[in-house]
Amino acid sequence: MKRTGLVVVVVQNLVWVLPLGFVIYLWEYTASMLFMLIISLLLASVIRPLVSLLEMVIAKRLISTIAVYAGLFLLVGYGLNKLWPIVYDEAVSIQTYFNMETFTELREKSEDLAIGFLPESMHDQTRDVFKGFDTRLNDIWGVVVTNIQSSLSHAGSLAMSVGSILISTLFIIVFSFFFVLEGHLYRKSFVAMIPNAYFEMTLHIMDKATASLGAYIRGQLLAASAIGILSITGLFILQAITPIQIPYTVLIGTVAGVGNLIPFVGPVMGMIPAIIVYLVTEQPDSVQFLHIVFIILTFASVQVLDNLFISPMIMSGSIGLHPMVIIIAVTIGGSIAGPVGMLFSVPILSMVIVIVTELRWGLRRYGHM
Amino acid sequence: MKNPLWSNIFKKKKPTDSHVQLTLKQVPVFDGLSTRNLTAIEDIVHERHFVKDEIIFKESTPGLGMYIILKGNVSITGVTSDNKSVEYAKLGQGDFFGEVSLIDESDRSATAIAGSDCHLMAFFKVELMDILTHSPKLGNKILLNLARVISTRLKTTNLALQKKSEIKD
Repeated sequence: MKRTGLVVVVVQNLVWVLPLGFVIYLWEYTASMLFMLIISLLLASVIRPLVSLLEMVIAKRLISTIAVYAGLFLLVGYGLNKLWPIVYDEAVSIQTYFNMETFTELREKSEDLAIGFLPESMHDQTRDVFKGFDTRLNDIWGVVVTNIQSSLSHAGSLAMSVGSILISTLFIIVFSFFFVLEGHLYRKSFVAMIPNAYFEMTLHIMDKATASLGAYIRGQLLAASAIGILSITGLFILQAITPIQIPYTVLIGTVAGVGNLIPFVGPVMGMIPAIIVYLVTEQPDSVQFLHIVFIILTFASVQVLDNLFISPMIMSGSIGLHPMVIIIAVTIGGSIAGPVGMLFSVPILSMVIVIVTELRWGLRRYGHM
Repeated sequence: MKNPLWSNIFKKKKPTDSHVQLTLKQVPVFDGLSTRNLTAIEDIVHERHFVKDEIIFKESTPGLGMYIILKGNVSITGVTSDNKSVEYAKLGQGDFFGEVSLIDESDRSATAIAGSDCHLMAFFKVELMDILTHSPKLGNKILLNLARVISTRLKTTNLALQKKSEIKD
């Protein structure tokens, strides 16, 4: 590169190198804002197709964007108004529900079930196992409570250091609005700073990665909603046709839907709470092993429906992660940001993989690698 | 270029005939477009400056779209079957190249090199698709013009081949 060319490149890149340096230097203060910007970008990628669809009819970007946001506000507002009180009441109620007594009851009913299911020769051993478990229950309960509290405080400090949830949400909505409205101008301004040798490659990678990420996020959201709705419906049907009583159905279904973000672990995340709630709830009939099989079958049916119809239809972009990689990602996510980190570790890892794959493809195809 | 961080998004834009628009009017792909349409195009195209001998794009790399020369000149070169470098064309101000990539998925068929310090405008497939989605009327006009340009080039190539074969005979 010629000396003048090098000077031009350095001067051109100061525009982003200086702000980046500033962001890294003041990381303590800028991290939460950066986090919100990333969330806004992801939200914008979900909303943008809706705006484009409306723009085909209205032909005005600003009006289409305002209309879509207004529509989403109404929809989310209505949904929260109807669904939130139910989920909130169930969440508050379940907190008071799970205490030492409920755990002791769970242990007793599990012991009865195991004894009823296992041959007589194993009854004494089973009782010993549960007796040992009983003595450790106090310690386990203490560890569980401490872990949940520390996890929640971790997650809270990361996402909400700027202020309350409301202010962060407002920031995210405003940022995403401008990303949707003027995304092409931001893209143009960013690309203007790229040196000529990487100009076409950068544009190509950006467009491919944006399309893949948008499809992945939309797919994940749709799949999670579908799993949630199917799980709630399945549990309601199960309670209607059998004597099984499972309170907190909406909460359990929501957990199953959100848990679906983690492959392999997701399906179990709805099933285990449902079984525990079944065991600790006063049932019209006695607790039976067959009922647990029914609950497992309900969640298995949801998974079968998901694998056969929902996922292929949505093409939620399963990128074939190795189970070991998933376990490592979930563990690291958990230690960084608690349950929130565990939940979002796989989607974030998938996004990083999409970006790296497109970057490698671009560098190879344009002869830079 | 409009700066999204500092400009007022709600301010009404007044269409004016800038240098970019005057050049766009000369390009057959944008033939018959109104000043308002050309302002919309100007908003989405990428302006680039290349120094003499700098490669604009290389043969066999993925093609993204076309370039319009605002200032300077560009050489379109390639390599023959016996590995010799050959200059297919030398293009000047108002000329355009790479337009096939707007509709074709295949790689670039030639290399474009800046013959002098030049100022180019890049109009890419993603932007064309965006226009087709958001403003189908304008998109169809551009597509029709593009089809005309390509068919004219095909006719010229056919005539040249015909003449060549007549000379051989």
